[in-house]
Amino acid sequence: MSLRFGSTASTPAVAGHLLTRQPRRLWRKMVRLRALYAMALPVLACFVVLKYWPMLLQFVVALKDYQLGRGIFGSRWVGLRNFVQVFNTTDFLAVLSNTVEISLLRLIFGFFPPLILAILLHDLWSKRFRRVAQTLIYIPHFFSWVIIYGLAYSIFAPGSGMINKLLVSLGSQRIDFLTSPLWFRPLIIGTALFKELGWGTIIYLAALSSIDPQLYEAAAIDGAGPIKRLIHITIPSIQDVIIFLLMIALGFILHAGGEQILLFLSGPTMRVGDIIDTWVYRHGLVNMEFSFATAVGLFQSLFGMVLIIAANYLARRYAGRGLW
Amino acid sequence: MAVHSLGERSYQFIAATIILACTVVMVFPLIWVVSMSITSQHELMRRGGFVIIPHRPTFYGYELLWNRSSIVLQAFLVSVTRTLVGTLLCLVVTTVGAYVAARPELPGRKLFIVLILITIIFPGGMIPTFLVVRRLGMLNSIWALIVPMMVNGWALLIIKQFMQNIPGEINDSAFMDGAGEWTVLVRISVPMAAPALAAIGLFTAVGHWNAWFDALIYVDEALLYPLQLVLRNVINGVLSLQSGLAQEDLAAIPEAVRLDADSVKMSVIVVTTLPILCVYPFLQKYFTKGMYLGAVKG
Repeated sequence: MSLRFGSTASTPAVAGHLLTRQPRRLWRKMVRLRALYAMALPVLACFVVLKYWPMLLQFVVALKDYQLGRGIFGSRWVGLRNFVQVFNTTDFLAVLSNTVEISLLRLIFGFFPPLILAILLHDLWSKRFRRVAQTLIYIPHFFSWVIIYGLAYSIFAPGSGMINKLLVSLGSQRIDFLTSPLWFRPLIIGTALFKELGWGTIIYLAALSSIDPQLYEAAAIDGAGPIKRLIHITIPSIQDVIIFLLMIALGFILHAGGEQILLFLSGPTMRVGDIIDTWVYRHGLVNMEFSFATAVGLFQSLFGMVLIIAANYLARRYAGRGLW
Repeated sequence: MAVHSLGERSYQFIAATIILACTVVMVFPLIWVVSMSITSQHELMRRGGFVIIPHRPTFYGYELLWNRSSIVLQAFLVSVTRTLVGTLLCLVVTTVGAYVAARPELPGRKLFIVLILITIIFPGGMIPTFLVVRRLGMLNSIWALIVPMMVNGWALLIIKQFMQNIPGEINDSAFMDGAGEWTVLVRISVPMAAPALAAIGLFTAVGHWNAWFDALIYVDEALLYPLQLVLRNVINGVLSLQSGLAQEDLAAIPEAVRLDADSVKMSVIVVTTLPILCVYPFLQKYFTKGMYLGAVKG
């Protein structure tokens, strides 16, 4: 009995001993690595000030009636009034549908061309031609949107633009591509494709280069042509990468390319081109309606976060890898 | 594969044609912009407006940038400054953060990484970021173009991945010899992660060079406009490079040299593009690697 009593008494004692020992060991380790914490601190401080501060500030500003003169603390709490106001604005649905439509167009016309181009480049016999072409088609990725806009201007401007010069010399009417609602979306999709088509091939090419060439040789002996080869070897070999990139593209669908659209947008094209980013910019920084614009931005951030997390989950599940 | 079937050969032909077409589309606008910028108004009229190779090229547009408008020169300096300082600061923050995040034995390392990851998934948004930059007193200063771009979660996690692959024994033996954390970081981790750091540095530099929206919202002072914002204003016609010239000055320019208004714009596009084209050959060596690193594991 005493033995049993002794043993039950000793168990908590041992546990207690371990509990005090564990943090002490941890503490000693932390003291030993204090230089690392000292290094992490300024980095973390940068992230806190430049990322977490705005991140938390957006909840406050969106729920207050923020006035520059009164400051954050002096401004009134108004609950969800800003959100009600956003959803009641006549523009809201139009802007949201513009955003989703332009994103979907980007996805449809921007996703498959790089895949196709990568497969064509991979299959090309002449490696030298392939290398030269790759070098040249990557270049536009490194241009700013302003430069792309300038290039588009030089090609599509009503007066000096190349296409209009050709149209005029052919005796046809000028077309004002840059301010026409009809041409706005093709122009946006086209210039985005111009910028990213070549760059988009890189990940596919990396995946394609890991396919065992013996598979192709075996297929050739079996008499498989380019199409059979594509369906039975190429696509199955890189399908994980395709699914991964598709999921990521879906995850970022609310990011419709604000910088690009802001450059191309003009009065006449507002109806078809105004997206969340440009709307936030106009309300917040041009009209100084900070709370209204922040409410829109918060809606976008939260919704975008859900999409990105969902996309990451799906990519992990179906492609075997995610963004994190 | 000595004899190729007809299907295979026609596929090769089609593939080569498509690739060639893409390449031409990518390169042609650049050639066109350069041609426009050096073709005089006179020659344009004479030859029907469509000129690729001018018979008598004029460099008046470039002289205009060099002489008359300190705006472009000033903007060039702003862009160079923000690119150099901004890239350096971003690399320092990223490298130190990555070094800490790459040490497996560090208690709290997971938390640190999660905190970085959250900043990628949940952005602060345009307006709150503006308010913070304003609160920091950086509006209308070059720091507004540098400091917000100093922290980059993606870059940090990519470099971290790279530093994790350095065998632990190398660090351990350095610590045995009495080296401190900073010594190991500078002498071992940075050289070992040099290719990744070079890639991230080049991408950051290009990002800085290409940025314009931050200047649009943070800077009112025209002297602090980077080249990209000046280019946008030039193309939009908000800013005219010939506006400083009086009517008689314009009339005094010889006809063979005179450019139309849009051709002057083209010379600004060329000047803005040139630095990118100059670093591109160096970039190309690193970018596939950098891109692949980013894609394989963030």
